[in-house]
Amino acid sequence: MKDFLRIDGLTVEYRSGNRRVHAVNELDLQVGEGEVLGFVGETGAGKTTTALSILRILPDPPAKVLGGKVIFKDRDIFQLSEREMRAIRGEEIAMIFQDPMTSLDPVKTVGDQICEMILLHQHCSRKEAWQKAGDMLETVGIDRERASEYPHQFSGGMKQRVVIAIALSCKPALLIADEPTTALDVTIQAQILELMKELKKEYQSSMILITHDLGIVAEICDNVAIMYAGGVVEYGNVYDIYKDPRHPYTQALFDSIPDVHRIQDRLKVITGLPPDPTDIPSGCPFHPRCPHCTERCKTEKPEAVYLNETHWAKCFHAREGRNDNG
Amino acid sequence: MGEPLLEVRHLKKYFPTKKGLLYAVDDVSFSIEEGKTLGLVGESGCGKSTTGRVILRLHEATGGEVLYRGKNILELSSREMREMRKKMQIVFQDPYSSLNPRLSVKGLIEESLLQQSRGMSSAEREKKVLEIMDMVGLERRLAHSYPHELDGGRRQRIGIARALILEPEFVVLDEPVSALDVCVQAQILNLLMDLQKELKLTYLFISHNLSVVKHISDQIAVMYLGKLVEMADHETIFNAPQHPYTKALLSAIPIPDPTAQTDRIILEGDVTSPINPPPGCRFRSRCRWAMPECAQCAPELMQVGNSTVACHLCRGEQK
Repeated sequence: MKDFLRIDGLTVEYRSGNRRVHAVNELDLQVGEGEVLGFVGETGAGKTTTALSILRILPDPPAKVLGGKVIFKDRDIFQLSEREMRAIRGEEIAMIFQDPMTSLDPVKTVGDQICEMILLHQHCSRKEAWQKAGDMLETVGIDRERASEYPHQFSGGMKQRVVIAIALSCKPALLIADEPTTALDVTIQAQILELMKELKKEYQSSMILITHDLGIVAEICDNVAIMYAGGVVEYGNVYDIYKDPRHPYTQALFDSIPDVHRIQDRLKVITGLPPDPTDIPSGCPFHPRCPHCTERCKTEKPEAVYLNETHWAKCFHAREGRNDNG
Repeated sequence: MGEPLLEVRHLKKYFPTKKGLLYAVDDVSFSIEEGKTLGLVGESGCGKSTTGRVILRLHEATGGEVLYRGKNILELSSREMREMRKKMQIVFQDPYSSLNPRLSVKGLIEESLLQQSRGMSSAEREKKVLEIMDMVGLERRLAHSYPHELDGGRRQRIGIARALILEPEFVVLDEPVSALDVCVQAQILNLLMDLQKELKLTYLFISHNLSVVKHISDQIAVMYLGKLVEMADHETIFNAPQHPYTKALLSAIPIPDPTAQTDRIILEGDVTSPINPPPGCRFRSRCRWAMPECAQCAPELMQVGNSTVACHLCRGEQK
């Protein structure tokens, strides 16, 4: 079960001229069957690059996979032929992109766009495909009559539903959702989240949800991976991570969100800026900003410290209690 | 209770479109006390940014009054308004597109000085620019950098410096942190709150993010399709929301706690079009408690407990 999707030591960089941007650095990750994994981090942490590597749709050049493996259902993704890969994309692994406004084709009806996916992967007639497209629209809460309308006739939330319908039309085993609600208003976001929760129950597919909103993660994810400077710094189930975050970066991330249910005078902030991906600090990548930094952190790269069977943090001080004064 | 610095009365802004009039801001009234912050919240297209811009006369109002220290600024001549603008400034949402890419940081911050304080020597200007850079936390060494070399947080600091260099009393903050990462967002929010204390600024803080608004505001006004639906101090809004829309908006915020039980009110459909809206309450098509009465006449704002609400449901509870 654990080996549904496994990423081992994935390293990706972007090259432009002489500059090398280290987007993903030796990333290890597992997603179990039927599990929803939240992928959290700031802009530039390498979340999207990791997702694109799984589907092998990184723009190459400038991106280059330097090492590591992605094992999906006992197959090494990087060893597959392009033809085999095409069969996986969309059918077994589907992706929902951040911006529904740009990921739909403006000159095709939404019904045709869903049909396209079905016809590509399933042996059926156009008529059957159209029928299925209508069913998919109903699943995501859109009247099937609207299948012959164009994207511009839909609102932002509706477009995102269409994108979800396309992604789910072949019942993928793994769904990667890259910030699916960031471009939407809160009330529409609530609708989409509710829909995703229902679909999670109905389809029981695994999901990787990329987001920077810790609220959304709390709501639908089983496990959380916190990304920093191209690597996972802490991993665990939502209860462990939210109740007892152990990596100083995770702690800082929680402190910096304004909480609607608490009165706060001042938000705690992390000093400094996210690391320059062309020049990642030595040792622990978080050390220049970390309040608990010691000499060892500057030179030695911390390994995962297991706090229980599933919860780990890449920090030398992970076992120490939380120090709020730091 | 302090004197209101800014009072907006029955402000209206309609845009003519091919399909008819677009009611972007429709009869909005509120006031902000000196040194306080009013948070204006709503979904995209509800008219919150337009309200901010009409107050500064970046759009001309269709009707209503904007009283600044008791004087209606909508009647000022463009020359008088120019003087007025020293006191009223705006910080825009997107630090990526609101800065001229061909000006250096110093040039960008200096620009408003050149416009407004003619006769200032270049040494004086430079001194002022460096002072304001210290104040907003921009390192002096960045004075000759260009916006593309800087990250979002620093760019937004430039936006704030540009607004503050003329020593305004009133600042419209139009989604100042929406384009920023959470950690940077926290830094900018802290900066804005420190500056307010230090310079006794009055803010109109426009945002779609309720948790951010709650953090920074004294009073909160909720807008829906060009109308104010509820206004109260920040505790009342969050602890005892009255209007069904406010309730839905609050319950829509995902809570960063996996054990939290959410009793979410899911609104059906989308925001309806602000072009030629039907009579009656504008929220009724998405409201689960809509009554026949709601379709007939639009509810007026009334006092319920500590809030001002526009909803027929609340009439029974009116004091």
